[in-house]
Amino acid sequence: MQFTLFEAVIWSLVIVLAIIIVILIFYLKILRRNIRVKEKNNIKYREKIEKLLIEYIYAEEEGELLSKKQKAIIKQFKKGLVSKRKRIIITETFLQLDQQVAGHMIEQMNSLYKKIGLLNYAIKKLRSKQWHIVAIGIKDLRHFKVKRVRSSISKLINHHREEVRREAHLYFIELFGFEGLNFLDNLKVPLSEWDQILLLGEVENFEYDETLDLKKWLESNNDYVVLFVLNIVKLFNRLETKDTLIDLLQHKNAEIRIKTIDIITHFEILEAKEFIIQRFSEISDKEKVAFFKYLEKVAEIEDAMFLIEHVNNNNFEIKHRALKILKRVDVNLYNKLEKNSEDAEYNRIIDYLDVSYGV
Amino acid sequence: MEYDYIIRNIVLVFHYFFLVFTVLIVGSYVILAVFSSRETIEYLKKNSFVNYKDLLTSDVAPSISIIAPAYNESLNIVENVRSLLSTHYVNYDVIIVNDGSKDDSLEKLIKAYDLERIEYLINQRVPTKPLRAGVFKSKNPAFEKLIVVDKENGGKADALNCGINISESRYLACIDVDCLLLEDSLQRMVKPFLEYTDRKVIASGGVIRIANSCKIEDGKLLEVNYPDKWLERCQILEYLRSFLLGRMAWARLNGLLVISGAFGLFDREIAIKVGGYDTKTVGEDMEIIVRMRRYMEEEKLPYKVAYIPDPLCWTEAPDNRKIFISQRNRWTRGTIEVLKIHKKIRWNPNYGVLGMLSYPYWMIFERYAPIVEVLGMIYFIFLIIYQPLSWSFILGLFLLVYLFSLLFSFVAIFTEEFTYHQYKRKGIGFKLILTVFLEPFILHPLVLYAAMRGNYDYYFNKKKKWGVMVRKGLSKS
Repeated sequence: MQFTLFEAVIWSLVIVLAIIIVILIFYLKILRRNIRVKEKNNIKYREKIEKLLIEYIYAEEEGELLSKKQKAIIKQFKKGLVSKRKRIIITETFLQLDQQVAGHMIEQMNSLYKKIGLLNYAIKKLRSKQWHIVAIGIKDLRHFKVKRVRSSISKLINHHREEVRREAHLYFIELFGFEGLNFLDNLKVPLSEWDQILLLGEVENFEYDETLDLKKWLESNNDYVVLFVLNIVKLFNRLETKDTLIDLLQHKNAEIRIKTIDIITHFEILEAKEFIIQRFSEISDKEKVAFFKYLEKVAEIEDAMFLIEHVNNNNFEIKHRALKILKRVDVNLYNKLEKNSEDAEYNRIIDYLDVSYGV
Repeated sequence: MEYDYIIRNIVLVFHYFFLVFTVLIVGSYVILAVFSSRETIEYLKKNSFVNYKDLLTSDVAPSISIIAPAYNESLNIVENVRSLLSTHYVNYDVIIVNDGSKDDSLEKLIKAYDLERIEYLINQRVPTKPLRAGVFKSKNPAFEKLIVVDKENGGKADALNCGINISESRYLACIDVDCLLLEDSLQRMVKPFLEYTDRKVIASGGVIRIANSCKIEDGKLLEVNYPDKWLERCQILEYLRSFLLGRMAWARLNGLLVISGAFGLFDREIAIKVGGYDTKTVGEDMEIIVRMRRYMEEEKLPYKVAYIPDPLCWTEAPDNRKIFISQRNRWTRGTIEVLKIHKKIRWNPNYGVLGMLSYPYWMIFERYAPIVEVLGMIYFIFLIIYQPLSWSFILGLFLLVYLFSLLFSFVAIFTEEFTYHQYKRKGIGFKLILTVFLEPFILHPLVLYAAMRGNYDYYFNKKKKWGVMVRKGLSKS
């Protein structure tokens, strides 16, 4: 067998790989050193920016629009903006400090943000072709409460990247409060649970606007809007939506029906009981479990016969809750129940309830 | 003459077999490296402006149960539980399953956390060994998130199943009790479950990092150090390659077959639907993922197994050869068992990526690779003896294989440097380079030996189960 051709190929590859590896070794050494140096420089520059920002905020002189010191600081900031690395640090420091100051100082920082030109950079980011730059741009504008880009950002609420539209939704709520929720009217894309958590985190910061019409969103064609608004209903205890909630118990989306039962449980709406009992055989196991959680709060002695029907349910959780509620609403009937069944699960639940736990 | 002709043809068959295998394995590594770099860039972009603080106070944050099985962990159990209780998340509990420990683990926990036995109604959705001393909760409200279950010994999978039965949360974080979780690990791990609307995320796995020699105090990682022992150093490099390159790429392809048993987050509903962990295999961490994926494929439900490259979980790696070999032996047997249990998936187009890509890859390049490697060595020796081989060819081939392995390790190191840069201290760079050069001689022969022993034990020593993992404890590092 001849290996001469193989040999030539192999040794060529060996040489190429050896050269690559030697280059990589040197590059690794340089890279690690650069990372260390960059980290040190970044820390140093961040400290400098923090100091300048604080100096700027406290350097205001009465009667003057801008003190000499402030003008000098603006000049230094502008000089730094040329470098991308420094611009990122300046923005980050602004954002960080913005969350630590209050009142007049926030206004001053926001005005400085505009004066040094960072605002223009943020607006420019909205036109980027890279989605993450757009998202960062919206985030910056949101933090610095820049309302005048509202129309540009409204075009992004249905962006194909969830990160971009998430930032756009947050922008509307953070800057315009409940009025900002109007973006839900035009929402055609999903709102993930993650989105909802972030949006609710912002919504929580506002006093509820009594003029708000939650009903239209509870009837939205976008199921995600319905789910999100159900969370708002619960968060702000909007009991006036009761009738719409009962209608939602028949919604085609099971997730919405389950969430609705959860809210009905929260409000302890009695009218829902008969309605669900009537269609109990048609609903899913998850809805049944949610309904029994509701019954734990609202069941009365009249419900004993319904509960009896379910003490031998195949679902452990339903069986447990049925027995537990029965013990609470009609202990005599509960005591008449057979204590030893062929169903081991049933016996375990009875044993557990009889040592008076679970009530 | 005819005999010579037959031998020559047999040699030629072997020759092309090894050539094709080598080209495929090298090609797959290159493709995986490309996919992993894409996925890493995408992940970093996605998470460069994420704020997790809203999750910490949200009323709608999903519930998570951390389930940690413990067997004879008396040495560090109190500190380890304290570390788990200091996790930053709003809606979670910690379930410690004392799996029939013979030491004083339970007594120590009772004393340290002021535990009392409570009546607890367990929904036995997954069969497990019975309880021993029962279920305990703390009298101290500061530890209200803690539940300790004492049960008869049934192995890690059985203990995890017991935790699954106890849990009432939406997600299960199954971890090794001696692992150190970073404070924000649950927030990061749960994010993919909440993000997707077009498919269900059934599990997410995280990177496991080696904590040997790291400075740890009160369950917190204070300083990342590079160990002195070569075995530990080599494992660090191996983990970087495996977690930052291999698994990241498979996550991109939605083809992940394994989530490390040390730390993984699961959708409880699906985990229960598939029957929990399999107690009959030593590869239970891989098996449950394959089974969950198989279930979703069979039900035709869109799904994803997510992967988080952030360094969230730090664990102690074996620091001596005997324990290392025992661990890898078990991993090999686990792989063989899982592939055998789910052989229906193999080359089955009904299972999509799982059947046509993940399973075959795992079978060829994980299951059979050590065997092919040993056969290759035997073949090479045969050639040296019976064929007039050129020594320049042998040396060239050896160098080519060696240099390629170095190149792949360098790619892993560069990925680490460009992303997380955990080994910051000056001087570690040189040690990393040295490890890259020595690892093929120090670690690889042990891995190969352990894999072959695993094969042997699987077929000829059926009684062999977990083996012993002696731990020093992270707080002592």
